[in-house]
Amino acid sequence: MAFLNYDVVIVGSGVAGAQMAYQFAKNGLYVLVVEAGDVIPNVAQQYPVKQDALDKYFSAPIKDPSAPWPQPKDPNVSWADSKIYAPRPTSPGVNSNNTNGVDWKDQEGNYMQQKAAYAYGSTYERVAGGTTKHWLGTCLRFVPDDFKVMSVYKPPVPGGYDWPIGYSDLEKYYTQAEKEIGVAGDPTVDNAMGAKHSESYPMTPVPQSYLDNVLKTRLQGQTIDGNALNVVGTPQGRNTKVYDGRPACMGNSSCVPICPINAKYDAGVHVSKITSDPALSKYVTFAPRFVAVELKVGADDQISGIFCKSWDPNSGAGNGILFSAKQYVIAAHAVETAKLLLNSPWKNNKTVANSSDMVGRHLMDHICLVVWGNVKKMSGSGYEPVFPYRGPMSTSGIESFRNDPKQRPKTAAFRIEIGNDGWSWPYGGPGYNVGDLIGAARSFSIAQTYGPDLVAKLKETVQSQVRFALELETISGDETMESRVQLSSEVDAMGIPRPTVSYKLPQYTLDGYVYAQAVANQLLGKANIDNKTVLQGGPGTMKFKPTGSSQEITIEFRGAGHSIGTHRMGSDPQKSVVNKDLQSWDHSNLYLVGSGAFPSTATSNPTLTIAALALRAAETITAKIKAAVKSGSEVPA
Amino acid sequence: MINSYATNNNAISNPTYYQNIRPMFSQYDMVMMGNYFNLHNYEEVKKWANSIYLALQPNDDPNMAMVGWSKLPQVHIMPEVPGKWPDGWIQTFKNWIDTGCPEGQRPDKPEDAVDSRKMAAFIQISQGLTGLPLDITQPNVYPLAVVYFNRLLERPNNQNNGNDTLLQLINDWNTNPTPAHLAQLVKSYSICSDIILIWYNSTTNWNRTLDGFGKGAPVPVPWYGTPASNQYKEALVWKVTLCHPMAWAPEITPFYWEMKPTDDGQYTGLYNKFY
Repeated sequence: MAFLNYDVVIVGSGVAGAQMAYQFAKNGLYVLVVEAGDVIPNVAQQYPVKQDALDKYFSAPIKDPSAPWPQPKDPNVSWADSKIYAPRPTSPGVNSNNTNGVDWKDQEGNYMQQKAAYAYGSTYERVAGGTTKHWLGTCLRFVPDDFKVMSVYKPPVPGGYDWPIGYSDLEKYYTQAEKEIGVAGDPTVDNAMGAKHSESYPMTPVPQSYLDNVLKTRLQGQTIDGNALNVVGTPQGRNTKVYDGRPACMGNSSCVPICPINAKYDAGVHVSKITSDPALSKYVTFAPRFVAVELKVGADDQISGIFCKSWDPNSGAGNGILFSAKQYVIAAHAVETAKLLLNSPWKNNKTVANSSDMVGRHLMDHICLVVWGNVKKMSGSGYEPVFPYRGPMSTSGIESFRNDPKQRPKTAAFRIEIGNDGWSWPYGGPGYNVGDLIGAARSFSIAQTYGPDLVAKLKETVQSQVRFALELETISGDETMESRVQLSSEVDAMGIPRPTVSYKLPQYTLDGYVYAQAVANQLLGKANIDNKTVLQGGPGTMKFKPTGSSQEITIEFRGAGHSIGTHRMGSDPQKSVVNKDLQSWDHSNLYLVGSGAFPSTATSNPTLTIAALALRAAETITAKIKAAVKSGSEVPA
Repeated sequence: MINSYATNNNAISNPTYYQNIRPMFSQYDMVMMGNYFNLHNYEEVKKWANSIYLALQPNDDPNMAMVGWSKLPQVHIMPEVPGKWPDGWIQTFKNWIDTGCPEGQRPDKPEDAVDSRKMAAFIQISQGLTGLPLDITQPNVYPLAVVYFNRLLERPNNQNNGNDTLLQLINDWNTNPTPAHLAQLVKSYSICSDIILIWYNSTTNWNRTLDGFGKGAPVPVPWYGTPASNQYKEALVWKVTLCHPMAWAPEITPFYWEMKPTDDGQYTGLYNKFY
């Protein structure tokens, strides 16, 4: 290390950490970025470089979002003895459909232990670039009402509150984030929903798929409960021209988890900039394979250091080191940030930043109602080919249910994502369709269909596949108090307690699921789609009573990969962990960024808002450090 | 992307096409040059080698070089993304031209020492079961058939029927089969399902259960292994359904997903490989 006293230490190099480090370096601040995971070889343009991760993905029996990245631990080895030093939640187990039969509730089998009756369905990556290493690229802004649902619609969410900031506070940073990421889109839809853009997107939209256009024609002019079923293009962090030295999307269709040509943004872009550009790298120390263990607090209640442990794939865990800085930014993902804070003792039996006892609580996600089917011909019998599995995995959505003033006072709002990826997410298509048709779901089955008959049936069933994901809002409140991250008594290979998760869905969201189900049924009917959705008994299966009903119903939700909550922002230090600037109420030199700070999930994918909030926090911190230097209370690092 | 060429910059003195030259051309290069020639085809790169070499270098006139012109008249320095090759790569390319453009060993060379009579029967059976021509004169079909044949040989015998192996099926196969004969074999041999699955999904399925999400999953076992990346991409299910295999594929065109496919293979990444 060049020196151990930085202007800023950042934990995590995902979209928030990497973009903040980039901003600090541009402003001449000395920054240390501590990344628990390894640097993933840059899967950029060059064949030999990208091939390793791609091969790992293509040869994986299950192509889940983590397939190209470091492999799960050996299930026969205890966690303390494993050689995985920065494990992800699915190492191995929940939602990975893993090859070893470890159940998602298996407390030893999964790094992230689950305590509730149903699973928290989302995961994250601990690698340089963070979870953008498996994101889809969706870059929607929130709509203005997302920030103030409680006051505008007064939904039945006991203890819920508005965001302490509004759309106008973030607009400038949304624009900046769209430039940093490189977003392709059309602002017309946002503008119509009140999310006005001060500037247009940097790139023209990603074209909607053939499937989207078929649906657009079929649904044109139709409504459900007064909401227009407009199939609109989704803004995406995906190039439509050469931008920031990266090529335009070619439609390799493997966006989650890996774009072979880097047309899709991931935070590795900014990691590369801060480590490779001499004008920036002189300010940045990038430390992969350093796991943050504990924050230290001084007598003045300021954070005085962060204790980290390094690791090496060959020699194992190394010695610890204490890094110090003027300001500390934790950008380690909602679960890992909470874990770090809870593992950091403070005074009066409290842990760091946790005088409110809110750290780890209010864990949320956009739970997804996934429905799928075959597009029927508009006249006659049989299915209409719409040619899924081509291009980016989603290019459109239906956004009108995000802010329905009639429904939002009663049940959770949602957006509808239209998938170009056939039934691959919920069903394992098209591979499983082959097994279904020949009747070979079981070992040593006699083929029921073969030859030209198989070809014809396979074409009919696969070419007409469509999938929708209705992604529901959750607002934190009294009901999410026990939806939380805590520390396990068991430790990982670094000797750090593993996270446990108890996931609890509030009634407002569950009632929204019921309404979303009704909307989905109507939508499939209006688009003339043969509904093939089945309950599969996955880890998101649960029972509950909808409001006003005495009957329990069974639903099966899936995670969207949007881990939210655990250190929510607010205006009241008794109820929140950070203020509107993402600054800890308890330690003024500690900032907790990322979607963990969201007090609600809002109605769109979180990444763009994570980036916008991080850029806003970077500006605040930069001004603070420069003001201190100017006033003479601090000397330059 | 800054520092995209994070690769050894040393020139190679005796390069060959397959080992050293082809890996330097990216997918982006392939697509951009696709209207002119195929950078992943040895003969075409050899034919255009001198022009490519000129296009890789900045123009001798510094003013023209500054605005991006190459030594090849009216052509910008290639590749435009992520930018000019490192000098060592360009020198490697020159060395390749100077040494007569050697081809090197093809990575997809078919495996040897397969019983040709049995292979012929396997191809015939595969054609009948998959419903596809599987023309073994095409470059990718025969090597795949060899891989699949060998893998199926390792399939365990059906515990309920001691006569359910690939070699027994081949032994029962008539060289002039009728549809009725094929139907009879399908009913007798569960390995027929595996032959279909290995062609369509590039993997065998006999240890797989489909009980539902989170309960059952494909289980790799020692004789099975996991499919290689090229086998995944070449799985016939993509070809037959006009799907794209969620994989790196050089043939695709920007924004193709907007349009309806016009013919088999155009959007699958498998164009010209099977037919």
